[in-house]
Amino acid sequence: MNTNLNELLSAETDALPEAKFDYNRMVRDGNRRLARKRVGVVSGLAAATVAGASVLSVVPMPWQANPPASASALAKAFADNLPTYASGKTVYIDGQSFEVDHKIVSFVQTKVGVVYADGEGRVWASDGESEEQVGLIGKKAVTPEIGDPALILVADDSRVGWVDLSNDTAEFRVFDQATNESISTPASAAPNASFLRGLDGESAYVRDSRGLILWNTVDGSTTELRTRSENLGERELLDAESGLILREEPRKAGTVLRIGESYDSGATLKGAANAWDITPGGKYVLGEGGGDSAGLWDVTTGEKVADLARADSLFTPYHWIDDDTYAGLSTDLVDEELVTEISLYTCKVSTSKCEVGYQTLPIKETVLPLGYAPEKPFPSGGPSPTPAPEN
Amino acid sequence: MDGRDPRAFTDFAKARSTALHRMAYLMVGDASLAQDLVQEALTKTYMAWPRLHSHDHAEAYTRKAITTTAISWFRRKGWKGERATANPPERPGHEHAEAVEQQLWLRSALAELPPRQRAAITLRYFADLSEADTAAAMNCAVGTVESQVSAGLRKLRQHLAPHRQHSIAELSDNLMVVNS
Repeated sequence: MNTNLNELLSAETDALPEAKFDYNRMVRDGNRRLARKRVGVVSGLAAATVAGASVLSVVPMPWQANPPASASALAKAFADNLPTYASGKTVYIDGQSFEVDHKIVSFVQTKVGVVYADGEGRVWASDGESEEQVGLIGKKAVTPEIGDPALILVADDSRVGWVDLSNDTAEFRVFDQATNESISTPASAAPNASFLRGLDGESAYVRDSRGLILWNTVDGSTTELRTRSENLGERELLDAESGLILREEPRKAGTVLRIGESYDSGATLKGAANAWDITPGGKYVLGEGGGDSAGLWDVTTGEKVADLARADSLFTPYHWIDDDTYAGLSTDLVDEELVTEISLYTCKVSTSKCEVGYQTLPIKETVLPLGYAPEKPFPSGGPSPTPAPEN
Repeated sequence: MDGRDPRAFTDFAKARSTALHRMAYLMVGDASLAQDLVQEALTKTYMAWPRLHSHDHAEAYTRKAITTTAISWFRRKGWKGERATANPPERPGHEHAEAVEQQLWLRSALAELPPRQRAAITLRYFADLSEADTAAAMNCAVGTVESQVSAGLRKLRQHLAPHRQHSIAELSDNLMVVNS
């Protein structure tokens, strides 16, 4: 029967029409997801590719107590840029917690509190004491399909930016949680073709039908940085910090990663296969070499200056606290489909030591401050959702 | 396979995508869905490329991604073979009626199998994997593969029973031999 069944199965596939695969898209999507994973997790599943971990000398920390927060302690924790995460309506930071009014689908942290989107696509700002709606990103943004724009909320210091739909047409909006003030400018494209790529102090980097535009959020002026045709998607601006632009540039021999003050200048990151985050002081870029080992590159010389030490668990840095300290998450399994729990750590580059913060968080209920919602699970179509026992 | 080399990955993907698509099709019963599965699985393989070290490992990783994605997805969405007859591949004309009947029987029988049994049957009898490699692809123990294959073949036989008086008696006999 083995032969017969094998023959029957083979015959069943012989007449299968030849499938057309988009190999370039595999590479493009893979690079895009890797870039996002380097900032944290993607699709609600733990990152599984950065093996360069510094989970050495793990010291348990009392974060898990999570007593109700006091206003002053909360303010200090956010001002100190300490790691945070959310679950349901609860925000956790520095061993404290507080409730917001709506279930958090995606959020970012600022130096003042959190700005989050709920399931209706409304944008809310909360400092743990008071809460107000500050915008609307729409339902599609909080229930994205794979391939939809990734960065929904972008934070820098006390500011948060997004593509707002409050006035029916798309506009770029930056909200300053320290002053409770917003500024907006119209986008020249539909919401699904308008992107806020980055935020750096008073500068916002926006992409629409005009090209990549530097928008000064103080005086409202705009400067074209890249043309409409020079669109590399999210990789045209991987991060903006301290006046520096981290981006990918196509070359004849392949793409390179560059960082500098403009698109015409800057250092090439030598030996970097990927890069995704500039440290808060603008000294280093967090990236990876060809072997998935995470490290730091000097923004001035482009030379790799530090490796993150290795460890047994898979580990992904996702948040910089200062130029020497970062938060990361670890998982135990390589297969991201099977990851159910994550643990959060803080680590020092200078000492290669980490401290565990929150342990064994259920991945499906944990939201990290990455600014985007999990993509809908693959695939988007399929059989009717009729429950059926497996056997 | 040092580093994430897009060219090396693309060469691998082009060489193996047709075979992987066929395997995925047998697991999900729909050509278009199988294509989506393979596209997604190969994207994951590209992401994991630097730690796969060889094409054999890369193919095993892709098979695992296809299998676990198909199983987990059908678990979430429910599985009663709704896709089994969607977009069946067009056969070239003038086929013998018996062969056509066998293929229709197989398609129908596979559609009735729960996802893990279907995956196990496909990996063992189409991809020709060992029990250990099948277990790796399904992320389960070898013993689980044995039980899933056994249960799957038993259900295929049960599905076959009403047809045994017809033109596929030979297959029926062979099925009984293997699973006794």
